[in-house]
Amino acid sequence: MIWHITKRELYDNLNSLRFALATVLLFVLMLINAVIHVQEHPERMQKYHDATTKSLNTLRSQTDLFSIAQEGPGNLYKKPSPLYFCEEGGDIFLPDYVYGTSFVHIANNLRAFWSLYYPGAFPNVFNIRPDTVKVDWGFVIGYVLSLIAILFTFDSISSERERGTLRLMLANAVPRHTVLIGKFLGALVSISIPFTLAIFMNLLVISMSRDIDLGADVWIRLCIIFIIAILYLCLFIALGLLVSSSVQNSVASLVILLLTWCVFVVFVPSTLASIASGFSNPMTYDEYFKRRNQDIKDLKEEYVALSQETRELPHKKIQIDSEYVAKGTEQEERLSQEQLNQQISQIQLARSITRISPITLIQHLLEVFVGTGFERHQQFLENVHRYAREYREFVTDMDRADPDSLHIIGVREGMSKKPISPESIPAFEDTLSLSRDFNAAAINLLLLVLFFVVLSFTAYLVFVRIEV
Amino acid sequence: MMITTLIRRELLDNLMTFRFVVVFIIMLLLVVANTSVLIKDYDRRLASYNSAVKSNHDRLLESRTYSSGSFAVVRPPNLLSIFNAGLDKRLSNEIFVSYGFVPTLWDGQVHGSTNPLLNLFSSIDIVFIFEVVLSLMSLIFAYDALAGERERGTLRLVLTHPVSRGKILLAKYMSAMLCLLVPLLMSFLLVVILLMTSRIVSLNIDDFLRIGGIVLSSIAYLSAFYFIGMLISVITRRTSTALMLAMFVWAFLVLVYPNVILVRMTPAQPFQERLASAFNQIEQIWDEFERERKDFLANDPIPGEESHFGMEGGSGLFEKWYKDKSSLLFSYVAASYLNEGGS
Repeated sequence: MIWHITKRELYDNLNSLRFALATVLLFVLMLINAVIHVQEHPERMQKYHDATTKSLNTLRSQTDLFSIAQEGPGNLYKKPSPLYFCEEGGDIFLPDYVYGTSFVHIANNLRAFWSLYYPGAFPNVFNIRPDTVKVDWGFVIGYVLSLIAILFTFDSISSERERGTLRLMLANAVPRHTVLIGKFLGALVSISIPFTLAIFMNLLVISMSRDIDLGADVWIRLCIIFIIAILYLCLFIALGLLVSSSVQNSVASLVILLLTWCVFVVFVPSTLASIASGFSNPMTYDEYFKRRNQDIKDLKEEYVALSQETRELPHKKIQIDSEYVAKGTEQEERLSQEQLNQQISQIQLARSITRISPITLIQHLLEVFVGTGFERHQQFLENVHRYAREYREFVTDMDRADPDSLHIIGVREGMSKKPISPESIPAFEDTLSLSRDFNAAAINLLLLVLFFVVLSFTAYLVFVRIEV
Repeated sequence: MMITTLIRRELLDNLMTFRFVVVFIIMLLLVVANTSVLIKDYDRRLASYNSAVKSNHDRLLESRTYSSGSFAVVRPPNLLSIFNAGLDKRLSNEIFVSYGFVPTLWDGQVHGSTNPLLNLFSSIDIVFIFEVVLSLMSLIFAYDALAGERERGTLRLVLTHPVSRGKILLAKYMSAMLCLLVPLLMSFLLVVILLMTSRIVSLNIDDFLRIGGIVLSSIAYLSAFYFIGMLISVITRRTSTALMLAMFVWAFLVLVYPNVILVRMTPAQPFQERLASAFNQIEQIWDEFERERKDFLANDPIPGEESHFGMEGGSGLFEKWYKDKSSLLFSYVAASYLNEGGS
């Protein structure tokens, strides 16, 4: 019987105007998305490749251990995701690199070692075109698909009540939940058909391009993304059925649904984010520079005072130099790390509060599986920190391996003078891992399922109790 | 006289509907919630502006020789950005001016007050609420204006009276606009009241005139969408078709088109090219300087240490980055921050 109702719904929908319009809209958007990706992605990969080669070449042009230890690895770049077309994730608002260089002069001829700096990306400072949402899968699923789900379901029960056909149907020995499930499946299948076809066409265009190579891992990610999209679609169909069965009149049902959609999809994420970001005040750049300059000044004064005392003792001077290089490096690294942590915790709070909105959930989920956006940025920072440790260990190991060295790291005279082979210097490689992503996605996925279950259960309760 | 009767009829019809009540309540809720958030945000930006001005002023007082210093000019936040944020928050709001350095567009900075990662969240303003909610509502008011009357047969009844068809349209338009103006004006009023009661903001005549301009353009926007809805309503026979068409037109015009059309207008490429040519020019100038310096030193009767004539902008930095084109300009800006700790 469920199948019978589903089939009827499906045939009804397939002939309707909304089905045609939805199909056209989805296809056009997906086509635009694919074409843009095919054009832009090779450029993006090329840019990343050029940048990493350049920074690796500068790194490997150094052969002596001291300058390797002092100058640091240079710029470390974030690898662009091959699935960039699925979700852009605000990547243009995130810096795509971190740099490790040495800035701090403690005295003449004495410079602190490199430390990591996190550039604040203000990419749009020069960009005077208006803000737009990138037309990616996240946009198509988050905004367009949810709107389509509402437009397909707002009248599915209320209009049958208006016309009286619902009474007719229930006069047969059909349990109410069967009717509801049938309607649900009918809407789900009839929206899934154009959506799936549009996705197929999108992937076909993208995989036909010579420059883009989608690996096995990428296809698994795409399958997961598709399942998540269908779950999100189910959520909005359940919402539509709930409102449609609780309101007598189908226009009223549409008005309620559209306004709910506007509030939760369009307004709640940005409003809540601005409220939540007001809770904490991360260190500003003014404060950062003020503290930094103060710290460096203190360090310099201390050093000058000490070096006055030990002017006559060269071996003591080396000790003090090395000590202050370590100190300067450490305080520099600590300060920028502190600022970064405060910025990140502000964003994390805002992101967890905006989870009330289903569109935020789907965007976070897509970001995680696509490998763009904030979660990915944190993963990149973790990779960078791991690499920084590796790099510093490499320097101490190389120094320890040389018997002629004094093992006083920080001063040229105290360190190994053996030439280093360029290949042995560790190179930074940014990686994406799927298993880590599942952990990050679990809460969002559970919330999405929870929303769906609550909505469909309420829809069931309301539909069982209504008078026909 | 007929037209006032018509308008009154339509107005009563519209005002009594469920959709009107829902729109009214949602609009006011959204506007109140967002205005308070936006005022707080403006307050933060103003505080950061003030602190930037103060720190620049302090720096100016500290410095002894103005020729070697670099001083910042700061742009204040715009009060009316509460209504429409535009690019006020995004574009650079601080630029350094110093002797021997010509600031260009890309030397502008965002003065250090905000968390750059906050850009991840899209910002919202009052006009955006109107853009989305009121356009949707004017379509919902318009879609059945004629199609509904035709379905019910009341249109034929109205036309039996001696009234021209144009007048019927006019009456429908006038009454719907009156209905939509109620939530629009109420929310503007609420925003202005909230602005005037918050102690940080003071509005002057100029601001009120501008707000009036925003109201007028919002009304024009509403009318445009109402007419789109009416057009759909006239050309379709059934209300359900009209509704679907109206919704998809809305989705296309408000949601899809503005995003799709701008996607290909990425200014990244020409900007990079401009940057590269500017860097080339700068490098040429530096080369020339280098040549002249060498000439001068070669012909100098008193031999001494090599001098850079204090032209490097942070002595350690420039030598290091001299070969790297992309950081030439950055070295100036960085030097202005680092000159205390750097040299």
